[in-house]
Amino acid sequence: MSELHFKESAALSMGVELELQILNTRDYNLTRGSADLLALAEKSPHPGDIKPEITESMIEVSTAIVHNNYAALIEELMGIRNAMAAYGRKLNLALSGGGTHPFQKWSEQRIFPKERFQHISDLYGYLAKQFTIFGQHVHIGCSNGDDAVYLAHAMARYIPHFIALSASSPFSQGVDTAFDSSRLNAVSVFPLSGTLPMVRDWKAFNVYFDEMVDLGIVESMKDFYWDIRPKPEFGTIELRVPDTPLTVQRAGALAAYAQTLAAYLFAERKPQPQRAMYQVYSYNRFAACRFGLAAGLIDAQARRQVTLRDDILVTLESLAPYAQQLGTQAPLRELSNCAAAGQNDSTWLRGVYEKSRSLVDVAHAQSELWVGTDPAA
Amino acid sequence: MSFLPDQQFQLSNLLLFGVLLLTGLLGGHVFQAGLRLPKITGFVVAGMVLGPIGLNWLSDAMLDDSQVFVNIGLGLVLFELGNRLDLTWMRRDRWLLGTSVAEAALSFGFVYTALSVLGVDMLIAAMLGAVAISTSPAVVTLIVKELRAEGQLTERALALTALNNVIAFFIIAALLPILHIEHRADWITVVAHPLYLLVGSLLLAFVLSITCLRLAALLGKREDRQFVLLVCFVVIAVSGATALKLSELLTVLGLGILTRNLDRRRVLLPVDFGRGGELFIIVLFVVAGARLRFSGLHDAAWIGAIIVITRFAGKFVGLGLFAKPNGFTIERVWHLSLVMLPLSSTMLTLIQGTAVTYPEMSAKLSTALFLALAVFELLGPIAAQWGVQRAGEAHPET
Repeated sequence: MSELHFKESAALSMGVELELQILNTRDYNLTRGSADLLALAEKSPHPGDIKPEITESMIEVSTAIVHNNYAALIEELMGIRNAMAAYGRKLNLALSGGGTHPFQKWSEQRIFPKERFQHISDLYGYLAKQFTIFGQHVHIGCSNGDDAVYLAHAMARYIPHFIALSASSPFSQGVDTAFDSSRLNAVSVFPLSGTLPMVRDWKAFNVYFDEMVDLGIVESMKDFYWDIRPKPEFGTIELRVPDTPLTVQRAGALAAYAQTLAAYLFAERKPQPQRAMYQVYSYNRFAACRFGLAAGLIDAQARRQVTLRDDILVTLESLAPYAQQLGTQAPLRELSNCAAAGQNDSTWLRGVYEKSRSLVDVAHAQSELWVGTDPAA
Repeated sequence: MSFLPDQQFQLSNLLLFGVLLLTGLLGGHVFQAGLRLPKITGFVVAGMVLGPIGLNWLSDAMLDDSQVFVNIGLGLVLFELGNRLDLTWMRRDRWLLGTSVAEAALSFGFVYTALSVLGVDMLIAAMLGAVAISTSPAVVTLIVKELRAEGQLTERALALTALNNVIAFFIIAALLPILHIEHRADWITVVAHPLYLLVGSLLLAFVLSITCLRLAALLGKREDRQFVLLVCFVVIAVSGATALKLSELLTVLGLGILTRNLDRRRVLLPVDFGRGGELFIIVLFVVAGARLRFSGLHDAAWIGAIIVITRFAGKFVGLGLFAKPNGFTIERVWHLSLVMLPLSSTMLTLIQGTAVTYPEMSAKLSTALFLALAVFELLGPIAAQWGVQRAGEAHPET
């Protein structure tokens, strides 16, 4: 079996993918619109890349993975957002961030007519339509496969941070789930979700991958739905846990956090993988989804519990020198404020519901916020 | 034996409603489940079976009695269609309004020209041309619901339908003075009648929509309460327009459009009259079927055929002219033209109503239109269903 080629890329370069909701402007439910948006996008120049997703009410936008600085990334993200908003206005469709749509019925969703999506639908049955959830993926460039395996393991400790800071899916199927991020529950049911296996380097990873291919479980890296996975064709690791935030600013800030954290982890180089961390991984992940920034996080090494909020603040503080080098102080300050206040996008969405008692209004408000209008203002 | 029913058994209005519903239900079932055709066509055929061309169980008097249910059904449909029309979309995509004007103008122009060339009286040709502009709100909204259709073609078809009904109404109102002059009416009638119809209907719609929005704000965002509130306002709008001799169509459509577009604080929940509304809509189509006549059509048959063909050609060319800015291929234009094929029988009622004062006019117009109407009533829903399905916008499970 030939080894997976890991494309060399500039270490710490970054890029972002965002899965967006397509809503009608009448009752702000999800609607079938990706094909129409794609057709329009094809005819007019726009920044970034636009792709279909598993169901027809989803659309994925992505930046190039070449950004070394936050300012360039946010500029491209805003350019993509504005282009999509313009297409939406022409087609009378609204676009929106948020990890879940508050009241869509999964059974109403339609699989996008593409071979790969049809295959997923045939394989996973109803789970495919339930996969109508919206995440942000952050790519961080790595020089080689060994670095990618190292970074994927080292970053796992901080997965709860990204969950709580991005959480924007408190409502699902018309109810308040009590989770800050209910989206990840829909990922966990897939048999190939979870984490990278306990491999130490790219060679060991290839052995594992070959075995999985031999057993007929996977055909490509795309079949793994891990929280963090190496992406050899891009030369990156891909962080997949964040919900799509309600604003591109927050999406950019999360990417900046991942980049700064990666810089710190590359500098630190603690031996990986750490068995103790993976022992508490699932519990910490659950706690972050359920309780958001207020979650109690188990620190396996120190054998104590800290609040996630404090853990984030301490981490952000220790990243200060790296943030200065990379020019990510401003976005990290935004995240620090968010953690200190204990308020993420889920808090905002619950606030809108509290005021209006209508999930239609919640969906409408989140679509307004996405295009840069604060409906509360 | 006074406790026994009278020997001459009379069908009460309530029983009539039940009979119409039951027949519609069965007709719809046979067409949908058995023939895989739209249930609307089944409703219409059920009406034809009951009516004068079939078993002749429904007299004209009985059909007139059932008009109240028909009006409620039509009111609900028109309100819902109006409520889906987002006027800000016209600002955001100006081509949409252009498309609407083009398809309306060419539907009118093609029908009018063809009929004029064939020697039909110019005023009658213009009236028929105006009627040809409008697409049936009931058929289009029902097909969209039945197929759970979603997409650009569906949204544009609904918006264009709402718009072409308004345009058709305005043109008919504009033609009324000429009609009055031909019949030597006094100048006050010539000017005042169309003006009264337009301004009065819109004013009534405006007053009702403001009141409705105020009450909705008071009642809060509760689906159960808002459902009742909206049904009340639809019924009030229909009966109010009738009582004031205004246009029911413009009043209720206007109420729908205004409640959506004046609702800046978003106090109204999205409208769905659901199964309750469907009861009246079934009756609406059954009665439409029962009102179809085939007798005495020989002379007018060719006019009917011309109307069917030129109207479709007008819509196809009009929509085709704006295919590119709408992002449509010619194939999609073909599908959209099929969706917009069903003719609005409401418009026919409108000119019949207008022409009550002039029986000669009424006869000429109705005869010519009945065949076209029959074709559109029966084939329109089938064409619309096919168009939505071929465009890939119907839900795969329908």
